[in-house]
Amino acid sequence: MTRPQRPPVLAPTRRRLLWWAGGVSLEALVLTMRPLRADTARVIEIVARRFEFEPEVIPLRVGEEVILQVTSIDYLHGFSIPSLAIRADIAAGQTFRATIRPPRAGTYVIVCDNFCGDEHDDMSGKIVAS
Amino acid sequence: MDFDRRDFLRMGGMGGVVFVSGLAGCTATGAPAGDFYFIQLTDIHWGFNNPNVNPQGEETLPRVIAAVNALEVQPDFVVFTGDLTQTTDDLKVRRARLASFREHASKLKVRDVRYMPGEHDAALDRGEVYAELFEPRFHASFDHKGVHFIVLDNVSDPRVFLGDAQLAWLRSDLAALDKNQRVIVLVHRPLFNLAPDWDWATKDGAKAIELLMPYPNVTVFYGHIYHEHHHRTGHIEHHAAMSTMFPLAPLGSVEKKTQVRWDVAAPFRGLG
Repeated sequence: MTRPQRPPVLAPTRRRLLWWAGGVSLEALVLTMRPLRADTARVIEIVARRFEFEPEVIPLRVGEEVILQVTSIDYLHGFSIPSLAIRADIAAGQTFRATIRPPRAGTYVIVCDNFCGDEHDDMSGKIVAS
Repeated sequence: MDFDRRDFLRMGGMGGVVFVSGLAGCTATGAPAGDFYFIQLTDIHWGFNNPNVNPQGEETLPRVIAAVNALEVQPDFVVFTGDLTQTTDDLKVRRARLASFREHASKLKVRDVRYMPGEHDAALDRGEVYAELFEPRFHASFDHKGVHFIVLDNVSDPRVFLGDAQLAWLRSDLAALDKNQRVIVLVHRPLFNLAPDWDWATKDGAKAIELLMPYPNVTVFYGHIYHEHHHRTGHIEHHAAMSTMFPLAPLGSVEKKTQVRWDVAAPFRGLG
């Protein structure tokens, strides 16, 4: 008795290849879009130094997407916006970037949450969304 | 323990006076109280210099030591829960302040005095100078009259972590205890997220609380926030004592942390 012949493997493999190619194209599209989105968002540069963030107050519109670009110039500062669940340690000379979009009007406190010296308690700022 | 009225009035102005017989595991379980009390003093900030906030800063530590010494019934021990000194970048000044603090504290009548660092003492140099003058090990445990005391360090890492090594030590220290053991935790900063906007938290404090949670008789005493404050995480009570150097405006009353100006009409008001 002869076994029934298996269907040719060409068709499924080709289908898989098509799915794979489609997936790659989609991923490529997403990857291409990321920098484009980042380019459209306003970048706000913030300097972290003992014992202040500069600027200390950042006014934004509700829903406005911006990139916070925070550079520490002198110490391992903490950069934390507790109400937006954003935080990072930023060593001297390092930069941290975070994209934010304030969901509602109000004040979002920025605080250095790494102890950095005598006037550490003064090292805070705020985003005011209106 | 028998205290006269005068002693109780004197205690009213101190950082924290802890009667162990009133804590978890002593009243609820009916276990023998092992009746004793200890005094918690915190946030002394020796070397702080701002006459608008405290023009009598140099009197604060001698004053509180005299108050403790005046108690007819002396505490079993006194514990300083951190920020013994105001921080400084100058290592010589830090060393001098810590040494001066210790000299003053040596005038306490009670012989059992325990010291813990706060971030002002230990964060900027990861406790190097503090370790020279006090204990080199910042976390430890000891037993006193049936109570297991655990001292935790959430200050010598300036990023405000207990750290995995200390948490592993805590796990093994607790593992040796009976589940109903009375436990008192001494720590400088709150272990729970009291106010992250004001940096009143410990980033991995929740992990320590999780380790403590299986033990029904745990109480935590801490400082750092300059206020008396009481909070529960589950069945675990957390109590904060006032600073001896300056008060802060109450949480929520001002946008940023603000030291309260000295009130000539009511000197030392709000201080422990």
